[in-house]
Amino acid sequence: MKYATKIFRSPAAALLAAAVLALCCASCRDDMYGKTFLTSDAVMIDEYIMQEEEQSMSAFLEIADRANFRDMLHAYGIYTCFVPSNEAVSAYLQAAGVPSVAELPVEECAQIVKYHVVRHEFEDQVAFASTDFVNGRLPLATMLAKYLTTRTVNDNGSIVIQVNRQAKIVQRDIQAANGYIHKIDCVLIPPPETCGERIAGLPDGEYSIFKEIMRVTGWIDSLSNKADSAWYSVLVQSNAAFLERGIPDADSLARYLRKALPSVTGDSELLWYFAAYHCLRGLFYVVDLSNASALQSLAPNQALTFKVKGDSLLVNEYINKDIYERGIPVSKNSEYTDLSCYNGVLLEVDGYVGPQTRGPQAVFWDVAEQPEILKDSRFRKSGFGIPWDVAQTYSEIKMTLASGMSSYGEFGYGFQSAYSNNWQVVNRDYLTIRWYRLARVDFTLPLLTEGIYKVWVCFRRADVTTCRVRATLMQDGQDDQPLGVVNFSEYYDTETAAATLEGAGMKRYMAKERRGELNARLWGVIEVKSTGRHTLRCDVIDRGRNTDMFLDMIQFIPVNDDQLWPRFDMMGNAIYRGTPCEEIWPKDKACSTDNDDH
Amino acid sequence: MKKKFLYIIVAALAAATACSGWLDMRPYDGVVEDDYWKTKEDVHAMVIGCYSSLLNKNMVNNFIYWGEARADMIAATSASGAALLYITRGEITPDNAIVKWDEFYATINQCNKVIEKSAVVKELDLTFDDRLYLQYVAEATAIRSLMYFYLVRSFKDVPLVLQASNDDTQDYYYPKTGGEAILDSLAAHLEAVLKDLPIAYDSNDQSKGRITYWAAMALLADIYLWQENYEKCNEMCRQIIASGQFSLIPVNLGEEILVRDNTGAAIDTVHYASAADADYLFDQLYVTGNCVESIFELQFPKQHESLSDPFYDLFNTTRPKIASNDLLLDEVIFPEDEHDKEAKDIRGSSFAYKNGYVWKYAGTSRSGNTLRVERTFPHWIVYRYADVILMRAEALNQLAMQGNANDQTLLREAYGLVQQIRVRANAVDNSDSDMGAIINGKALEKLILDERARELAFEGKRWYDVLRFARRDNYGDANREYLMQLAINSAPPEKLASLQVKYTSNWFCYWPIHVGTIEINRNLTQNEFYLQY
Repeated sequence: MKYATKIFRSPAAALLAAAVLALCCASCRDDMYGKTFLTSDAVMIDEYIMQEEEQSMSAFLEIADRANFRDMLHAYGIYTCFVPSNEAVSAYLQAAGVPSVAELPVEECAQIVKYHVVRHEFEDQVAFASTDFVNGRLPLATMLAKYLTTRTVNDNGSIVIQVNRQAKIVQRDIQAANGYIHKIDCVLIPPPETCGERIAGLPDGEYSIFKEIMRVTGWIDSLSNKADSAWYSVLVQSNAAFLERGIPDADSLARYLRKALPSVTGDSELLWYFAAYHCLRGLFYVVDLSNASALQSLAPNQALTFKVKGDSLLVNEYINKDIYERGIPVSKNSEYTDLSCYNGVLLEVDGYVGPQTRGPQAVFWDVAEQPEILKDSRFRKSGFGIPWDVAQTYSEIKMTLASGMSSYGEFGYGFQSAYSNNWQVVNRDYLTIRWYRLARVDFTLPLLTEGIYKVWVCFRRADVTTCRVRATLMQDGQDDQPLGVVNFSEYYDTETAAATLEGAGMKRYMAKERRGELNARLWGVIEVKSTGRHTLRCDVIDRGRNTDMFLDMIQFIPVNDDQLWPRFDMMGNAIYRGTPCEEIWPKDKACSTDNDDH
Repeated sequence: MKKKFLYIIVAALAAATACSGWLDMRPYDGVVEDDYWKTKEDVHAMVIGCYSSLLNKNMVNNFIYWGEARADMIAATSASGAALLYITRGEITPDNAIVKWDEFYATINQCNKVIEKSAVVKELDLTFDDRLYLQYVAEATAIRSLMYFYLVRSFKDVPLVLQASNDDTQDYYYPKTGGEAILDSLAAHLEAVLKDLPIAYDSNDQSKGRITYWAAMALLADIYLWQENYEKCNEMCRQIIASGQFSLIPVNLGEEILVRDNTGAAIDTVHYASAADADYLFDQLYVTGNCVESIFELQFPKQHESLSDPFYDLFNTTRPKIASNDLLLDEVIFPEDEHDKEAKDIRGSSFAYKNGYVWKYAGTSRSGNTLRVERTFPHWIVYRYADVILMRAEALNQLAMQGNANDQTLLREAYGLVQQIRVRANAVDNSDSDMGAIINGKALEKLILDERARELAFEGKRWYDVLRFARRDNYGDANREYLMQLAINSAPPEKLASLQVKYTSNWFCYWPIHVGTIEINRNLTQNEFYLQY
């Protein structure tokens, strides 16, 4: 004890002993045991590049610094960054004859950074991981307003993802707090050549006929104008494709076209039509065309149609009661397919594609095919729905809220993964609409060719007593055409004969089973004055109570065509009259007949 | 002196207040090893434990996901979750939870323990006779081999652990062993223990639910087939077939029906299979279980209050995680008879699948619409007789083609076996199944793969089948086309092109090792294709 007292008399020693005691007592408390603790060590994109041990991407940061983009890479936000390695930057500098990054013009630095970064605008978006890449363009443009393309290729035995066919990704999916970094082995340079220049440079041996037509019609010049800010997509066609139809030169093509386009006179006009028909305004890679059904070409009133079949994408397959025209596949392996240009993209078709005059053609429009929904990689992949609480905006649907309503969930997208007879919807999907919140909705319609059509609206009814909506067709430079009023709470009449119902403007549109909930109503008759995409305005006349209505399809059927057939199955197949029930999905389910059929 | 005392205080305090359990090494959550392994009953309990470990929900999920997710017969749904969705889109990354192998190594460790400890117990328990001892070791060896066979087919090269992990002094950081070497060792081990396995156990249930001589042989046949050792595969299958222990449940096809064209001339003959017999077959195989066709199946309890139900979770009809790919099944896998649509293959719609549901696990009868409720488990069939018949056909088919011989006797025999399966199921005859007077080996090869898809639909075999056909002769002789076709059948359009390119890499045909596993085991390297992630 004597020693102890002595020790504790020394203040320093006492302090030490107390500290030891405190430490020991605290040593083995299992405070962390059995609990989950999360700390964020996530770093921003620029921080990752700085902290990386090998410093393999630091040159890109120097470029960003020079262009004053460092703050952006450091800021919260969502970015997909393709970062070239230091070797890639050195190679770039060497090619440009510039000794160091410090001597690159600031403007060029800004261009480089902008071309390598995709900025995601909305908070609910996520940056693109390599799993989101397809063989085609990224869904969003870079900050330079140009699109990057990705493609999976086998590079001497190793599978790599190429970006813009220039660089390959050497390290993918590096996650930073504000996005993904994909390290690439080459600085990306926007394609310098325009579509026109590219076409002019096609090898003569294989493409002389197409080049000649594009040249004499002036299209090569039009497509070479860098001042024009529009995007173009051009379908390239080889000599072999012309020869297949017995067309060895431009003159023969003009002769060939006289039959297809009787209303166009003069050989040079015919050739111009042909050339214009091969051009689309807008940027369409194979993946984009796979999700398009019809697009307006630059030839007046002439559309191109697209359809996916097996592993091919067919252009202008035409099936009608009497005519079957085989579709022309887009040649996916051609080096001229998905070829990015300064102002667009080239694609090669593996056969003859040309304009043709046709009368009005029925359009069975699945309203769920909205660009924003189509763009989602999960679209119709049995795993997708846009719930109510997402304030999704649609570029082709304009909504006006009813007075007193604040914007919250007017539209949803739903997917029905399995068969259910009172949820038989075409392509298994639908738009859910809450009409009671709305005063007006304007739909941009799919492409309609000139002619007179009956308009049928196909829906699953809203469970209220009344919900009435009037439609109006609006065409640029034309008078508005009012249609009738449809009550979306109405049941399909399962008692009356189909022919009688048609007279009353009601029909059944699903082929498998007849259900009261699924109804199609004639909205009215319209005259499409010019081929194109017009607007259908829907004004809510009677709001009803707060219940959902499920809009499946709007059909435009030429007045002289059969209005009752085809019907549809849930997989989106058109079912023609007389099709045996076993061929209608789901094949083992019995069908309901119509009242006049038995 | 003062200083010395200070040290003593510090040391004493530190010792006294440190963790209380510091010196007691006995685990607080289990039985101490040495207290356990005393009697043959302990060993028996552990052997049964090895079987029970296969009933783990994650284990069954792996059997299903690994065997079907990359193939074409299933489709993802809104309830699938990202992991499965990505795989069905051909986007496979090392952070995908589906590629975790933890359950397999847990079972392997259990088997290793049985093999190691039963030798110790044999010294302690005098009533533990040789026959029983060898049988337990053989059962554990077979289960372990099955686990490794799954791993090798899925990852190619994996750590080969044949010792139980008992204490911390062992090195757990096993590096990879080559897949071929593992298969060689599995085959050798199985061949060695084959004689120790009983032909049957005391009850039918046990004979179907535990490893018998025949079950081990079926596994061996499967391994030999993967090794492209067709002689031995054929021999194993021949013995199983010759044993007379198993048979196909017959289905009455009724009378032959003539199909006539417009002029009245007979153009085809068809059969309408008996619906009652098809119902019975469905019931025996997938509802009642343990039938005469079964060789080895995982026996879940018929009903259970708390055990997790992997089947309900994946295949229920309210929010199924896995749907059947009906478009493909209806049009490609089960083509219609071109003359008479009523003459149907009994294994197709409303047998294997119905309205987008995987009916083998969702329904309780073929023709009814009653659904399985949660925790009324079906069995999981690992091997059944039809599988063995088709394995033999495959082996004979390959033997016949060796050296471009196209040996018609062997091909005829192989075709006979396939026909046995086809006739029982009333399979639809078409140009793919008609072999003509001179059989083309390659055409028969494709028929065998198609027939396996029909017969063993959703039984966790499809991906391994396609891969086995594709990798044959080192992906030679246009065999990779099988994978290219699979991509067309399964990939969404925007992913098809990239998936087909990926399939040109042999390493893409295997899973990546999960990131978590790589982080823990410093001696593991990621599989080649996945290094860029």
